[in-house]
Amino acid sequence: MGKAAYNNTYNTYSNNACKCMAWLCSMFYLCLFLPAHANNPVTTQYRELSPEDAGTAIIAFVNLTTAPGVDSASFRVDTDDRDSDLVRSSLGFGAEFTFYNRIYDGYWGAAIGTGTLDDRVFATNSNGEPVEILIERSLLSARGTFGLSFPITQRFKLRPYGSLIVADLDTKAAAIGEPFPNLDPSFSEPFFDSSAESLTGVASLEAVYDHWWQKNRLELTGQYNLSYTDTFSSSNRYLDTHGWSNTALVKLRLSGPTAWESYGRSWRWVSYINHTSFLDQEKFALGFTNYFEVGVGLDYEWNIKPLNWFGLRTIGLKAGALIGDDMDGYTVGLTFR
Amino acid sequence: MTMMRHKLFLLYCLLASTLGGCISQPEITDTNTPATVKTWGPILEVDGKTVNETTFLVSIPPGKRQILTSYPMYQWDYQCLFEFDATPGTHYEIIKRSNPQPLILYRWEQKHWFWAERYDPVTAVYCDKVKQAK
Repeated sequence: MGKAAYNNTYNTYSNNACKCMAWLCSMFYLCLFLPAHANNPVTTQYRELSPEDAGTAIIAFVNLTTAPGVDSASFRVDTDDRDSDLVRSSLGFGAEFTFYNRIYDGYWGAAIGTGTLDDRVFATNSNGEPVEILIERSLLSARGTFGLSFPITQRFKLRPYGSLIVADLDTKAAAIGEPFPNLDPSFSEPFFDSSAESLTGVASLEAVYDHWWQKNRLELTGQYNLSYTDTFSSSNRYLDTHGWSNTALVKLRLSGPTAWESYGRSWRWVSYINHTSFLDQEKFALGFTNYFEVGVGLDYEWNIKPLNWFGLRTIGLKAGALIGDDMDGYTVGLTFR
Repeated sequence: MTMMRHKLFLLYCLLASTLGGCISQPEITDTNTPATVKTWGPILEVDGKTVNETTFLVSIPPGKRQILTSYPMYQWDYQCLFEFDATPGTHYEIIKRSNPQPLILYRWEQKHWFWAERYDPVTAVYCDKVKQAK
């Protein structure tokens, strides 16, 4: 073996040894920083319940179930202090339309949506006694969106738009234990069964980049929503509230041609990954504050123009998995683009 | 009895609409009827001849035709040339839509009162990036 070959072999062994050491060290540090309860059973410290939590939770629920850009999905939270199922369903559409002789286009959208929440929360009251709260919520909403779309280059556009959302909410709640022992019963009584209406204004900014290589397309979308929600309830003073919400979404979508055709129109495969973050939402409100959605789908190039006004290019099917902080779920749905 | 009559009426409506959807009357088009082209950006040239006024709709005689149209954007403009075989009485649309090229031409056909369909996509012969006309 020549000296050079020996050195090469030695370097290879040396590199591998370094990698092994680095791996072992990283495992060691990982073990050091693992939370203590990974090894030891812990007693869960439940959060102290306050009547204002109802208002915070309802603002978060309205934001999650009505925010533009958030897709239909089923969420499940299963933690020490919460057992919750939340479903958001919506049927909506957004499209650009042209102002002749203007560089910018118009953008409009409309959606109807429903949301349901089946929530079981473990907390303590102000005396430190355990309380279990069972909440069922349902929501029916309608959204109208209008804005502009600015094509900066062929591949990049900015789209600011505003949305107005009205929703009708019903809440049924029950408690095991005394949630508010130090409150007058007339204050705590209406905490339970109540209805409310909400009005939300949302300002959104969307940045869309797309790139083609051959017949494949990559779309990257960043979106920020600033929402103000006002809820009105005559039956529950705690639901007569208002609040701001900030939501950020990043979406990456890849699509390409398939060999399939129906009625002379082609099908395209789709894969996507989205990240949704409810930036200022308190975790106790719904049990999570952000999640990833990973999925696949099929788009049919329908290519129609309803009312001879706006283009509807594809109708598609998609299915995805949701992974969040203390949350998982799935999504199955129709898409219109 | 009233319910039965309602059901028969609904059945009649359903049958009529189903059969009506299946029967179509063939369209008779004169071979000299011009085709029309609607664009989303101003039309600059038709068959190499400059169009002086700002227009988004032209009538063209059937046959092989060329349309040069513009797509203005904030950073720069595109000028795209389309070459296609115009058939008599047919409507075409050149639209901006995400594709490998900025503009695309479709044959446009009204299907129902509710929607029109776009067929036979034609990509541009070329799309040139040009400096913006201020």
